[in-house]
Amino acid sequence: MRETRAVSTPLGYALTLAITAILVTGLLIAGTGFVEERQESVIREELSVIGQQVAADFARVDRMVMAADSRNESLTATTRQTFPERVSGSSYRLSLDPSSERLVLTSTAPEVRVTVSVTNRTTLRESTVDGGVIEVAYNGSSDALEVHDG
Amino acid sequence: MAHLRDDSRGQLLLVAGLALALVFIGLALVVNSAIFTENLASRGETAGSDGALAARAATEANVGAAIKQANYYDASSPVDAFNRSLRNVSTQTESLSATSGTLVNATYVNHRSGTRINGSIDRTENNYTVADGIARVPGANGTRGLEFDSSGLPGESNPLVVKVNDTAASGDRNSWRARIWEASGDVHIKTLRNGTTASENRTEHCSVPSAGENRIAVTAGLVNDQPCDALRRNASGTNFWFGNGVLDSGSNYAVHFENTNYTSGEFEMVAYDGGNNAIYDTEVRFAYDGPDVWYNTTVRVAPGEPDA
Repeated sequence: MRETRAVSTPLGYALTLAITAILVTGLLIAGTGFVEERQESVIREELSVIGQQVAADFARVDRMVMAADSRNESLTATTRQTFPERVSGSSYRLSLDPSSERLVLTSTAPEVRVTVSVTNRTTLRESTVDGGVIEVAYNGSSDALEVHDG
Repeated sequence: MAHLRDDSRGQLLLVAGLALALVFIGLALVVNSAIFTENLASRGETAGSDGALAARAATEANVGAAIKQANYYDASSPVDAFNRSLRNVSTQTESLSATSGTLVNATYVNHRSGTRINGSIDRTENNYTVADGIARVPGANGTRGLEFDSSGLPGESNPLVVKVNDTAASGDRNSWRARIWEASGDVHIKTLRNGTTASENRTEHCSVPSAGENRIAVTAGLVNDQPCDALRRNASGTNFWFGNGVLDSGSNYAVHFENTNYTSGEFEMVAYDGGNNAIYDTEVRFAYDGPDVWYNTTVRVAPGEPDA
């Protein structure tokens, strides 16, 4: 019995350390996962809002083009709007897909993809811009609407 | 027994606390982004495209008034008079827009001449031709601003008739006729649209309360400033605008008045019939430069022209 004396103190200490480490690691893993999940959700929301704002700009320029009595080179119709350059710390790109009449917004890290439909009467032209200042304009040479960096 | 020094105890908790603090900072940044998203979502019209369209509409209305005045007061050289008015329109619109930080400019591009016909509705002849050989302008009618100002409209038995027909067609074939009379405190308009065959014939009727001086803008589709279905599109979408459907083969058309001896008052109109004592329509270049919107287009102005 004499050799087992004073064992309970270091054993208890080691067990406390081990359990604490496991709990803290679990908390960190769960916390990081939660933040990443929230970040992705917020990026999706933000891209969707930016996409809808740009779609509204398309409707505005489309209205100006339809109200105009001239077309091609003798018509200019442009609106510019400033958006954040990064969403939740991630840069993003906005592409106009004329075939499906949709805006496709994609963030880089984490990669989140959001599509927003565009309603218009003027034809659309394939174009891509980075986040930040975005212009929606009527292109006289191709008689179509497009996006470009402002 | 463990030999831990006092200053090295609790390191695990410290590191874990720091790591958790970083996670919370990340969470705060994400929440911040979410709040900004809410802010972005509630952002309204910031660029000012509505302002550009409003300025365009105001310019169109002002240029229309300038054409009317030039045709009325300067039959010998309406284009010079119009250009002077246009410069005033441009300067005044620019001054008004300067307060909102935008630049608006309106300049003359070109015009088409026509004939201004006006006078008493009642002439010696009861039925007469007002204008002949009127051609359609591309995408528009060829007659605009036909207005009657009358304090004595006839009754239903002898209505004033405005008849538009294809000069190549005979009788009522390919014609548009509007019968105008007054009864029981109302001005009545009944429009008959004859096609090439009887099955294409259409009629529409509307009535608007009378005024002391009745103002019937036939081409603009207004009676005493109120819209009238019989001079526009009816509820089912059939087109009853002035002269609609009369041209079968793209030839010219004529405008006749009938039963004029029963009507007192004046009329006025401008026709695109090859004459040159008035401006039929004009094109001006409209430029709007705002902080975040640019709009530059030509605007065709033909006041009181029916929808094609």
